[in-house]
Amino acid sequence: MRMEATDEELLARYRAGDTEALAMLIERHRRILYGFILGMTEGREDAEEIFQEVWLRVMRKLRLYRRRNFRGWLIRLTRNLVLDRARHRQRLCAVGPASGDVSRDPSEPEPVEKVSPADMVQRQELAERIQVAVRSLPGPQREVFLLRENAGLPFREIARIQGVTINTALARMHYAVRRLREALRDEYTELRGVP
Amino acid sequence: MKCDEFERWLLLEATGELTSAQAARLRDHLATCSACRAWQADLARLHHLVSSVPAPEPSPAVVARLLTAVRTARPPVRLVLRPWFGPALAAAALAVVLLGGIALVTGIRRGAPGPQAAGTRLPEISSLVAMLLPEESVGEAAPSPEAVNVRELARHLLIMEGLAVELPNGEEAELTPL
Repeated sequence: MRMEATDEELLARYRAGDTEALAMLIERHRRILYGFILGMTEGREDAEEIFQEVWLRVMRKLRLYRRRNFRGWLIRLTRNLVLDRARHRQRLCAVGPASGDVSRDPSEPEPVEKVSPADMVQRQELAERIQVAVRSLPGPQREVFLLRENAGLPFREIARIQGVTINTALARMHYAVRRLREALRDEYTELRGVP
Repeated sequence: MKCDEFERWLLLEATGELTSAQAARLRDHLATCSACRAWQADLARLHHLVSSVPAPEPSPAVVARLLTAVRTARPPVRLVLRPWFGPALAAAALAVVLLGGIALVTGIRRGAPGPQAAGTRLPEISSLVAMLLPEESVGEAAPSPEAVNVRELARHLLIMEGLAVELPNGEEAELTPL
């Protein structure tokens, strides 16, 4: 069985001139990255713009990359871009609940496995309720939640990214979970059977 | 230890950031604390909820545009020293030292001789002295032939101007007071 190339291997191939390797990296990280960006910005238009800008920056700044943790570097780069954009536009989603454009573009194909239309609608509605609940979190808590649940980063890495102690990052996640539990009470009730 | 702390440990357990001793202590606590077990179940439900819905994705048009940009852009160029480049660089450095040394020597000879002239050229002299002194790095291999040549040249230039004297064993040069 052929092993999937690691991020570092793909980066090495890209540096050697194989542009397809970067395309593979984009494909690999797009959901994680886009989910984080969408959660931290005000809508799809903003998020898509930032998503593209992130990768263009990756192409420009790759020579500065020295670590062995591409995903962490990517998230840092993305976070800086999101914060710059928020400062620039004075939207500052981090200081209060965002209005939340959570609607999906109806012209887009659904990127999910085969499910019945009724199930799809139900899942989409649930996704929107979750997104609204996450958007209602204060910025730092929302960011920790997205970095943990969406990007799958460990708390040490999250703390480094936010420039806080690991205890602060944990306290923020703790707070986020409690808030989300309240906001999604009905969904929690439906999931009573889940361990 | 309070339940708050164990609740945070439950977060760390999910990411594999607990030590085995902490994990064992957490298990012991969970066996006796229903509140922490409830918190553990809450975390599992939330994770289940979040992962059960489709992850948002950028529109296909955006991804296609980006991939086109990636495929048409030139990948970053990385400078790699060719095998011949190292000696060539050393030769160039040697030439610079040589020319600088000649300029220093002829300059001193044309101007007022002696320490006064040397005093006006302290930066150049300092550079030569710096080249003469052995490198401070510890644990390095023997200096390269190029580095030995540069030091040797610097030593000769200083001796020629009477700024250094050759010791009887001929291996070291010593600065005389300016």
